[in-house]
Amino acid sequence: MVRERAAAQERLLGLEERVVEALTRRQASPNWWKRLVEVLLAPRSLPRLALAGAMCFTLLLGLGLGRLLLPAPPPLPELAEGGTLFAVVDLRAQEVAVVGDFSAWQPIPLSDPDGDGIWTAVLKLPPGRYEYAFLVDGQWIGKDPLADEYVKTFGEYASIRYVENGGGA
Amino acid sequence: MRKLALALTLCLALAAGGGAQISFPLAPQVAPEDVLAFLATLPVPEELKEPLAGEMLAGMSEGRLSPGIAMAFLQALSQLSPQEQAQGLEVMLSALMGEMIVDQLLNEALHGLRLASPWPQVLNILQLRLGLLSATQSVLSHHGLIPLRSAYSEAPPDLGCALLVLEVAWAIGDHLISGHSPADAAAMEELIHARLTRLRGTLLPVQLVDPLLAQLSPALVQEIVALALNPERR
Repeated sequence: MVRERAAAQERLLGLEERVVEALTRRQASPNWWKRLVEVLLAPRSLPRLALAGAMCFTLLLGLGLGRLLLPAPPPLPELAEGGTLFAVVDLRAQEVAVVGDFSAWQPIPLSDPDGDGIWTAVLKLPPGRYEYAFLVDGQWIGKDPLADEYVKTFGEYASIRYVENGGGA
Repeated sequence: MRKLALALTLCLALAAGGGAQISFPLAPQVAPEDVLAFLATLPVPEELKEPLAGEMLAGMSEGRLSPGIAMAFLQALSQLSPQEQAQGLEVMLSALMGEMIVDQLLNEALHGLRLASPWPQVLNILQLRLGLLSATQSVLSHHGLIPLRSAYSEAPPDLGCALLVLEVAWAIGDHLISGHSPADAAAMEELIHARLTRLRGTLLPVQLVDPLLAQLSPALVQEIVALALNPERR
């Protein structure tokens, strides 16, 4: 018993210094980047690393092929450069069309392929002044925020767009 | 393995997202013969159809009448009574004989019919537009802003002049049809000025627009309106 107490006291001797030394070593340990390298280079991490690399490669390959085979969807301002953009934002709409003097007031459907509620159509119009409105689930929407001006005929508003240089609004 | 499948699906979805831009046909492409053939089927007097067919053919060849718009107009008219059909065709004939651009007039009728407006209202607006076109043509030629056409001229009408007449008449018509006062010539002058400036050099020839902008005044606009609303002055 006496011997055990003596041994324990021996172990407790200098404990404070040892703790402080250990903490100092931890603070001086390699930064997160070095530790990451160490973890990645550890033999047990190699299969995970290989899988992550394969996934990244596949993703990049897919993106590259997508770019090569199909043109990426351009943002809206770029779309407008290829023609005149007609757009309606309506999350609940089932069917959206534009009618105007460019189509003898026959409906031209707008599309929303990704279902985000942004319905668009890009029409190639020669330079001129065009009168139009939207039909959202059959309801006449005469005031387009993108219009240059509005007119009221037959008791309803219609939007006006001036097209310059063949297509761009 | 599941992660790999997810990554592949994501790649395919991104790649498939490429073709979002879709192009649509605008006014339907129709042959002039088909338009005339449809006209022949309408239950209106031959005395109306015969001159109209000749004028339509000339209008289509001169670029004043688009076959697609003409066909849409005739098809819409065919849903009305024979009397109403004849009224619509008479407006069209007058515009064609006046060597005007007729597409906008027919589009106005299609606009009204699309909104299910009663035919008398559509006809009133068509007649007002026609009167404004005719008055604008008279006043602009009287002031030397467009050349005076001889009734016996064989040459096709100048489309630039016809477009200028159309835009001026349409601006005045928009003001009147919206319910504004025909006496407010300053507002109409402003509307015409803004429209011509916007279309100058793109749709309208600069050499026609600039002299008109230089002479444009409330008095000139008032002259057009007075002539359109009181055609007996002509």
